[in-house]
Order: sequence, then structure tokens, then C-alpha cells
Amino acid sequence: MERRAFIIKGGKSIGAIGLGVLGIYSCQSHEPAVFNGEFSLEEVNMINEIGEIIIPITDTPGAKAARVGEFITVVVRDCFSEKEKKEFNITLADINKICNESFGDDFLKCKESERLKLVSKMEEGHGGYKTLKNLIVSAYLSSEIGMTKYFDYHPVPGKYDGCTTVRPW
Amino acid sequence: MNGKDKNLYDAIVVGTGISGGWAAKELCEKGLKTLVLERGRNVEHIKDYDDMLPNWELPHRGRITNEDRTKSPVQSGVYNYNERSKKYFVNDLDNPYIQLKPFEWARGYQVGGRSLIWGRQSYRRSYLDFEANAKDGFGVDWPIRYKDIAPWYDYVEPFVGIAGSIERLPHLPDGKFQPPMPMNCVESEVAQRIKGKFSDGRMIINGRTANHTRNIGEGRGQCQYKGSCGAGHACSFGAYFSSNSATLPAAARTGNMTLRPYSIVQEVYYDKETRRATGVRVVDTETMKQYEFYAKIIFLNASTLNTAAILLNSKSDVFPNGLGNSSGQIGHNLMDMPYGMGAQGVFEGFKDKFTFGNRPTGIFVPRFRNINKATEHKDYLRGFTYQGGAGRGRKGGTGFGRDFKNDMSQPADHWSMSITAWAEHLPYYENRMFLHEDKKDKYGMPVICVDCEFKENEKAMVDDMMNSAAEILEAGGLKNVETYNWNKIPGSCIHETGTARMGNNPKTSVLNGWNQMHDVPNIFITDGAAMASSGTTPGPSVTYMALTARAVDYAVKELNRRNI
Repeated sequence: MERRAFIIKGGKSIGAIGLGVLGIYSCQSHEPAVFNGEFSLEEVNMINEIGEIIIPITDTPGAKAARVGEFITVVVRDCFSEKEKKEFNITLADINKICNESFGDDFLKCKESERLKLVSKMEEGHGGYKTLKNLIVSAYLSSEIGMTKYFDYHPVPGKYDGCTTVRPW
Repeated sequence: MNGKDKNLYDAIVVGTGISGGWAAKELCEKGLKTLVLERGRNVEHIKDYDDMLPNWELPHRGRITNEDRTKSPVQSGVYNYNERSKKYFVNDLDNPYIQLKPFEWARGYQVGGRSLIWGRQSYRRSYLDFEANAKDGFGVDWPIRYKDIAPWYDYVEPFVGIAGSIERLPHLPDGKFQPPMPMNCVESEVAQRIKGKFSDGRMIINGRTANHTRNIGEGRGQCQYKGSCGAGHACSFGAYFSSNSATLPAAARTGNMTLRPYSIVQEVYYDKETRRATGVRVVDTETMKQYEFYAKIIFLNASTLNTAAILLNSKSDVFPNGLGNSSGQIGHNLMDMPYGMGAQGVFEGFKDKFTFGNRPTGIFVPRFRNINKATEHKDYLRGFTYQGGAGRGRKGGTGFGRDFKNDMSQPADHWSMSITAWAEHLPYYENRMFLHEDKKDKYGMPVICVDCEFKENEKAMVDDMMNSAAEILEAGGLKNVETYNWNKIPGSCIHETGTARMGNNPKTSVLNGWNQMHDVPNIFITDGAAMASSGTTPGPSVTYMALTARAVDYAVKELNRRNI
């Protein structure tokens, strides 16, 4: 059976992101007491806004238009383990904590320049951010915008060409 | 008309998967009024498929949820279980089994069975496979040889619609193929480069797959390369073989088929006066009522473990250990195939080239061990093959913002290629399934216990499967070659076989050379249960298909001669 035959280990990094630095949580004491798996509208918006910084609108729509926050919160709620859910929730809380410490307000109330500084800082090493970024990338690329606007969409290719010079996506 | 007359048919087929579909088609086309029983719901070709639904419209875009993992802890680990395909896999909680040793049992309980979600690779067994047991003494000798089954491969393949290349290899017989699906530029180049480099004849050929490169009939179009079949999503173009696309519609067209979904067969009745099976007892899963159906011949195609379970659960004075089990072999000699050992590397070249379309197959390396004296391996018996392919992914990016967004779509610097081994699993009496003495499932059927493992011969192949793969890739010019082993447990290849094996001797086997029970001549078993060996080359389904067509031909002739 060919089931694994075309999973190319080295080449399956579709949408892979090569983050060089693995960070750890900057604040473990910030843990919310209870997390029921439901997210607030603020949290959804926050993910959308962070997403837009990572994948901004260019000649194609960005992460906000792709509503990555809505999708990511559904995935975290329905697909993540309890441990992963908790870690994800800590990340969001931690982002607000960093914003408050650095800029005196929650992320959503920060200015564009401040948000950029925050993401730059987390890029330097923040374990929870890495998970969030991976989710944003995967949510964007799997969205209708990602699949049809960012990439060329071929739902029914109709043929196989094993040696084309045209990039197929 | 009494109840028995009303429920009387010429033939009963239990199961609608790959082999049950063929039994239904062949019996109906030969004019027999045939009752086809399926334990799951109906799935109608094209009408019931959702492969054209865009991925982003799925709530989790394909991801497996916690609820899925809870309901189906085993199925959710199967390679092509996902948000869309999960409806073709069972709920493990409703269908429990006991693993005495780890055994991943993939199950699809619906009309079409696992033919909706199968891997589609289709290779003939060769003379080596049918002679192996006799030569090395593991298992019992097959009662047939390649020449016995060859005409029946010829018979089924054109209807199956297999894309493949003609290679003229005695250890990998050619079939009646449609044109092959081509290799991509890296695969072709590597295949070219390894030619003649190995004294044992290692070579790379096109994979042989039951995907159609030519239209094959109503509702059976040619492959559109959209990649849905590999993900277990069925195909609205009908471009791969399934019971739903091919055999069941053919059976229905005769007007002779009565298809009854939601019908679990729990027992086969036996009449000691006539020494024949008389019928089956069914539990209707919608009403939980029991029904009895009767027929002159019965084909058991419920899948390797369930076929054996039905027999073990059919006890009588004559057969206290299960119907047709005078040999004591039913449930024993369970095999799968070890797989998942291989190598990968990168190819520096064709940097301006890509592939377009999702080809549902790859490349194949025929067996090259233990074919003859010169290729004998000192450490183990029998052999293995490789499946694999080359592809080019995306590189991804670093950082964030405009540049990162742009980088995400950049192609990887190099093509990658990997090949993965599938190997033979020797038949061992102690690898077996049996019925639990007390525990029953919600339908009242005793729960199946599985006790199966890979042993010395399988383990002895592992290093060679990894290293030989690396040798092939290196000879083909790949760089950074690394080996891997997915450490798959038995069952996860989904090639379970052997629980009612064929053989010449009724004392040591369950079926004769016509897939007919030694003890009960009007029962035929043509699913994986019948196998006397797992074979070295995977893609076993086409062998079940050929054996089924052959067995039906024989059964109907015997019926007409009034021998059964």
C-alpha cells in the first residue's frame, strides 16, 4: 500500500516556519486559575491582530481577513489536550502581561508600533509564541483566503505533471 | 410461505468490502439470487461522498478532535483517519476488541467496507509467494500455485482498473494494466542512475495502483489528481476502485442482489444431516431484532478477524469449537506485514522544476532478497519491497511581516525523496485471535481478543530494510541520506490475514484450494482470512479479488453439478 509513500519526510514542511530560537514561558506565575476552553471576543481579536502582524495584508489579504482567531480558538477548544489548552491560555495572558509591563496597557489597546515591538521581542524567544505563530500560519494557509488567494487553487488538477517549470501553488 | 421460504436465497454474501463486493458481483452475474449482508450503513457511490467540499468548510479543516480520540482511540491513529474520512471508520467504544499485545485494527463498517479508504496499491503475488511455505516450512503449503490464480488476475484486473507498467519480472508478474501514472523528474533520474548498480537487481518502477488512467464505465472516470483518495475521502469521479464504485453497482444491475445494511451476522447455521451450512443469524442494528436467512451457498467476506469470529461463534454438537474448525486452526496464523523502515534524502538538481497535481501513487522497488541462490540473505527468510516517491515542498520563512509572508510560499531548496519497506510476516500458530469467554459487545457478539506479534524473522529484516533503502538512494545520487523506522505495531499495515487458511490437508488447514471449507463444502471464504502466507509483496486486495472470482466460478459449477 502506498499510504506513506508520498509523505516525503524532508519535504513535508508545508508552510513550515523555521524559528531558530526556542523560548520558554517568561512567566509561569501568571497562570489563570481555571480555563474552560472558551475564549472571549477580546482573545479572538487579539489572535487576529497578532496574526495580522505576522501575516499582514499585502497584495493578498492577511491573517485578520482570514479570521485566524476564530479558527484557532475552535481548534484549541476541540483538539488540544488539557495541558496544551492551559499552555495556550497562559501565552495569551502572558502577552497582555508583557504589554502592560512594557507599554502600560493590554495588547489590543497598544499602538501599532508597540505591537510590532512586542512581536519582535517574542520572536527572539518565547515558547508559547512559537505555538501561536505555528497555529496562525496553519490557520491562514488552510483558510479560504490562504488556499485560494494566497496560493493558486487547483481543487481538480485534472492531470499530473511530474516535471513542470510552473510553480503549482 | 413460511418464514424460511421468505428468507431463502441462492447465495448469501457476508460483507461488502473488497472481496464481498466481488462475491456479490460474480454470484449475481451468474444468475444467483444473492443476499448481501453488511453490518454498517449504506454508502452510495458519489451521492454520499463529500470529497468536493472545500477543506476550509470543515469545522476543524481536517484535524482530529478530542471527541474523535475518545470515541475511536484506535481508528484515530490510522494514517488516513481525519475529520472528513472519520465517517468511514468505526467507533471503537461501540466495537471493542482486546489487545493482548498491541494490535491496531482499522475497521470500516459500512457498505463498501474498507474499499472506500484502502491504499489501492495492487500487485500480483508471484510463484515465489505460493511456493514459500513449502520451501522453508513455515505455515502450510499453499494448495495453489501462481498458474492457478494467474487467469483470475487476468479476469479481475481490467474491471478493477489498475494503472501500472509492464516490467517482465518473474517475481513481480505483470497484469492487465491501464497506462501507468508517470514518475516525476527526480524519480525518473534516480531510477535511471541506479540501473545496473546492484548485482541483486534492485530497480525502481512505477507504482501499481487501482486508480484509473482511463475511463472504465458508468460512474468510473479517470483520475483527476485531486488527492482525495489518499486521504480517505472517496472520489466523486469514481476514479479508484471500490465496492461502491464498481462491484456493487454491477451486482445491482443484474437485478439479483438484495443488499441489506445494518445486518451483523453472528452465526452460521449447520445441518449435521446434510453436512451443509443452511443459513445465517443476523442482528439488525437498527431494531436489535434477530433474523434468519437461508441459502445454498454462503460466502464469508467479513474481513480476516470478523470472518473467523463468526465461525468461532457458530458452535454445534458436531463443531463444538466453531463451525468448520475440526483442524483447530481458525483464528490462528494471524499475519499482518511489518512496514515503515526506510530512508530519505535530498536531491540537488531540477531546481526550476515542480510537480503539478496530486498523484495517488508513487514508485516501487520490487523484492530483491531470497529470489534465488545468488540473492539469499543469511539472516532471514523471504523479503520485502519498497514504496516511495520524490517531491518538493516549501521552505517556509523566518521572522514576521511582509517578508515572512512572501517566504512562506517559496519552494524548498531541494527535492526530497524517500522509500519505505513493506515486508513479509511469517505465519505462526501462536499469533491468533479468539473470542472472549464472557465479554460481549452491545450487539451480543463475543468480543475478539488479538494476540499477535512480529518475531525473529521479521526483526531480522529491519536493519536490512533501512540500510538497503539508504544504498538505493545513495546510488541514485541523493544527499544527506538518513534511515528511519516508524516502529509500527502489528495490524497497522491493515493487511491482516490468515485466520482460516487454505491448505491441502483438512487436519492442518480450514479451506481447500478453492477457498471452500474442508468441513463444510457450501461455505467459501475469500477475504484475507484465507491466506496461507502474507506474501512478500503488498497490495493483497487484488489477490483476494482474483481468488473470489475463482471461488465463485467453482462454487456455481459445483452447485450445478449438485455436489454442494
